[in-house]
Amino acid sequence: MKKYNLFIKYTLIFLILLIALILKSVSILVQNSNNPFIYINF
Amino acid sequence: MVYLRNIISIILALIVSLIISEILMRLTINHPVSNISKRMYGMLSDNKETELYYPNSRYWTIEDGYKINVTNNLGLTGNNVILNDTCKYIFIIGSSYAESRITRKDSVASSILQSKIGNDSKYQVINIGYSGLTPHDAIYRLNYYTKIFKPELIIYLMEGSTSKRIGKNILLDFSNINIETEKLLLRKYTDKIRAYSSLLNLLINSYVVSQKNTDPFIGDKRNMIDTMDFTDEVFICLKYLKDTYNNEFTIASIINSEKLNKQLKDFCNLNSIIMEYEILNKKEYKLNDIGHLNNKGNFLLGELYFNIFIKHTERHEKI
Repeated sequence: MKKYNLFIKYTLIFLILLIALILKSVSILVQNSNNPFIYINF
Repeated sequence: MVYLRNIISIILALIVSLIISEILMRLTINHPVSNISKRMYGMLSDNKETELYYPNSRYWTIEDGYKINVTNNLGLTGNNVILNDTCKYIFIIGSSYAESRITRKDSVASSILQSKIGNDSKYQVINIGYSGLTPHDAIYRLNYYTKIFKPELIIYLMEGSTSKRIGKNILLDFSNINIETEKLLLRKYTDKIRAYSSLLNLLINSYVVSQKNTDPFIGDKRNMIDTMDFTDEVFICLKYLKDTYNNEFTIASIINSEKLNKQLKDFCNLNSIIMEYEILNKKEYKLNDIGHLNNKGNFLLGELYFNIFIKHTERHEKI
């Protein structure tokens, strides 16, 4: 079990970081919602 | 040995967390993946890059709030187009006002025109508008699309500032320009990853949005350019389009200036170009008062297109 500890620990750290990044991205999009100067093709 | 095992554990942890985040993204926000199928040169003037999109693909827009729209069966905006040998095609070309990616498929002006003509009619409307397209760019974009479809009618939408953003150096000989896909390897691979990862596409999209210049004075500058006179280059390009496509080439104008519309009308009368205008590029027909056309604006623009279609048909019958 001990050898999996490091893997689980880092998985959780990366997950938290990625979810924080997702939330930050969503908040940027929400803040810029209805912005008439943004017309992007994606 | 322990050191190596630790490194492998961390890499595996990163991969697993990326997969879990991707699954979470798809189950919750479901942000679309990138729908760019190709990047092309030669479809716009000055060797600018053009993006082509996958047919029936989801994409997000933000000007009218966070919205997900879908491209048609050609990867363009507007409703699906019937493609067969008996169909006659109508091209709508212009800038983002014509393209209208913010608007739902069936509310785009080109779809309104199609519904007025009849959805199953032998006349099928193809909206080839593209963001930032100038009359100079229109020459190149039409050169590309007329090799795929033979249009019976071309309606060029002039909306104001974009119609005038032409440099002094007009290159009209595009025969030597090769239409080719993006050669930058890095871009090619990031495009591929974005086409599969909703997570990565969201991160890149939000980064691009955060970098956009949202200076409110841009609106004032745009309005100022809207009322400036046309340059000679605009008329050179329009004349070229008339000479190339003859009576198939027509103009619709929504420019917010009687003076400019009159200038345009005089030019069109002189060159026997069918031209109709209605001042729709104003507050009540725009998103958030200063953006692109709203649903009402698109509906009225669809009617303006239809008037041109009727005039063109009448002229055709006389000949």
